[in-house]
Amino acid sequence: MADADFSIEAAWDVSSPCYVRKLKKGSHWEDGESPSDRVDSIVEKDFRLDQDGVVSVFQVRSGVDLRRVAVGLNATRDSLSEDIFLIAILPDELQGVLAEPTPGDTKCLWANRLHHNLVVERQSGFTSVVESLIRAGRKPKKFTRSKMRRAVEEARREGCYATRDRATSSDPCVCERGT
Amino acid sequence: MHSATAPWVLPQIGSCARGAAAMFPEDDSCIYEWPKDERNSDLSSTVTSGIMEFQGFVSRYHRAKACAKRRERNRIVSLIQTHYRPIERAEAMARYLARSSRPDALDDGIDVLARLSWRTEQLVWDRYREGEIPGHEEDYWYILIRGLGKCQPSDLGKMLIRQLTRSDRLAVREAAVEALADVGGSEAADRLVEIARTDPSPFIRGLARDRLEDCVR
Repeated sequence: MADADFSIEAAWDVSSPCYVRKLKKGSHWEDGESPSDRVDSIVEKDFRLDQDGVVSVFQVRSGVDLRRVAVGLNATRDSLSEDIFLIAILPDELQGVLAEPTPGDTKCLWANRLHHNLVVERQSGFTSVVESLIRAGRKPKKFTRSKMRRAVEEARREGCYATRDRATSSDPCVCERGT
Repeated sequence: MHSATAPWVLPQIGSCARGAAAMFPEDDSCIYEWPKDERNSDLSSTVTSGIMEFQGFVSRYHRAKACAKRRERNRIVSLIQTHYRPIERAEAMARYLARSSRPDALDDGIDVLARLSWRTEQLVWDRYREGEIPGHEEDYWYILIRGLGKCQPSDLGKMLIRQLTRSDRLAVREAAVEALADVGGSEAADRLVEIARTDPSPFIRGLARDRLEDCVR
């Protein structure tokens, strides 16, 4: 059930693998007086380089990957089942952008292995990426609290460290058990 | 001068939250810098450095590793709650995070405001009454409105959220729909049904439908 909630095809109508990025919110993907305003606004709000000069994404191949990434990202929130906005980016849409695998910083070990940094020479490198997303009609997908609740239940069953304190528990999670 | 590790020295300077508040007039323009006050310039500079130090803690919270995030958030909540001008501290935090490029910036602000109960509601009302246009600084207002929805607002606070769902700014309606769903209850659900049917934006209509699912459970 939880994995069906996180189907990549159902969320964005794209095939896997793809990269997903967490968004602050969704309305600026709709707003803007002209398409170029919208592109600028999305690049500014959602693809601004962080202090290390990169943009953080996760490469997902299945609903299981997407679910674990969503739970991993929410592990820094007050509640694991908060709703979350994500956008998918296909590898072909990363023109001129290098996707470099690097360890992620979430409490989910699985999600951390899926983490990549998007590296560009300058901020404007994301303009063509966002233009591709808009041309493809890609929209941010909100994973609601009810979906996140089911995802968290599944993560608990898997013993994910996003749902418990790693320091006080010796049981390995499903990734460590290699299943 | 207080040490870098003890920002809570500030409220203790006069241990005198009430005394200090009475000594200086209310002035909402001094969010980042305490106005120069000839009566006590030493205290004035101490307060300014206290605000800088507070922003340092907000930055540390915002950039904290996943394993340290909860601890840093607790620290920020405590620093705001124990400060003698908590509303200004909460506002300074929200403005700081609204400027960040990181995707979790708004969530970090919302999670703190959610735990500040009446202080969050007072902050939103203060800014709203002062005539600040919600949506002018849309990320800042997004943090405030969503924080209001999560802090168990009073009936007046709930009314304000419902009012903001009629804003002509898309970003404000987005925040208000989310906040309404966070408040929950039958009145919120009824309004979400109405928004899902009548809002001019397909994005907002879809959001209201999605969040209705959370609201009625």
